[in-house]
Amino acid sequence: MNTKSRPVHLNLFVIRMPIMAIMSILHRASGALLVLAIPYFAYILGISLEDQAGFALAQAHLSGWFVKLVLLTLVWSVLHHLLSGIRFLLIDFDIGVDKISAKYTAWVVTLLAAGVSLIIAVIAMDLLGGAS
Amino acid sequence: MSRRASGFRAWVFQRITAVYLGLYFLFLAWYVLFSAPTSYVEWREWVANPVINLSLLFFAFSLLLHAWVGTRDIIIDYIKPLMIRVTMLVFLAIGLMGSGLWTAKYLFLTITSV
Repeated sequence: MNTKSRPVHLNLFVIRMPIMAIMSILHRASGALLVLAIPYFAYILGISLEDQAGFALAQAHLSGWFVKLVLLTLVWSVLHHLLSGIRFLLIDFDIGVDKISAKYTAWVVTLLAAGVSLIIAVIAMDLLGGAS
Repeated sequence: MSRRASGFRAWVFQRITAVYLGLYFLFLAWYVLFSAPTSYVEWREWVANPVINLSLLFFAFSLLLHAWVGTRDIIIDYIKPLMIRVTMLVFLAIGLMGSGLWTAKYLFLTITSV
């Protein structure tokens, strides 16, 4: 069978994107972001354990506003990745496979991760405002 | 091992590491939120606890394995030219192994030196 002549239709603006697809893409995107953060966290862990000065340096570094913004992105990443990961694992065990529950849980995962991140952002901003 | 078997092994690894990473992450989040270290001595003592030290090392190892399988999947899916794909995989492997060795070194130093 000639598979080369089949039409390829991958225009992301035209194909339908149900919430399950969006959630799944975000699972990958958040995973990629977390991978990029690995060397950074390994470095911070190292210097914070090195000596007193390194610990103080790590502390000062982590309280900068730009770093807080990066950390917030990573908080969302880890929340979305963890929640959608749990959903994928349950589906592996045949839990929530039917279309209605799959759609419902995809919404729950996406909104919960975004919502909790937003709440954390507000709390963090409040703390920053209170400190200055 | 055949390609299919190695793919299946990666699939299993990804799920086993996911469970450990998920549970341990909740523990770490709890620690950071409710008993974050306020001094170097306190922080170091926590990391030097043998149970914490070993479970952190296992966390780092699981994380690197999970990151390798996941990122490898993404790269294989989207990067088609072989040379670019291999180059990216090599950089990924170096980055992950470097991070792992760095982490292992400091976890080890924490329990051996005073």
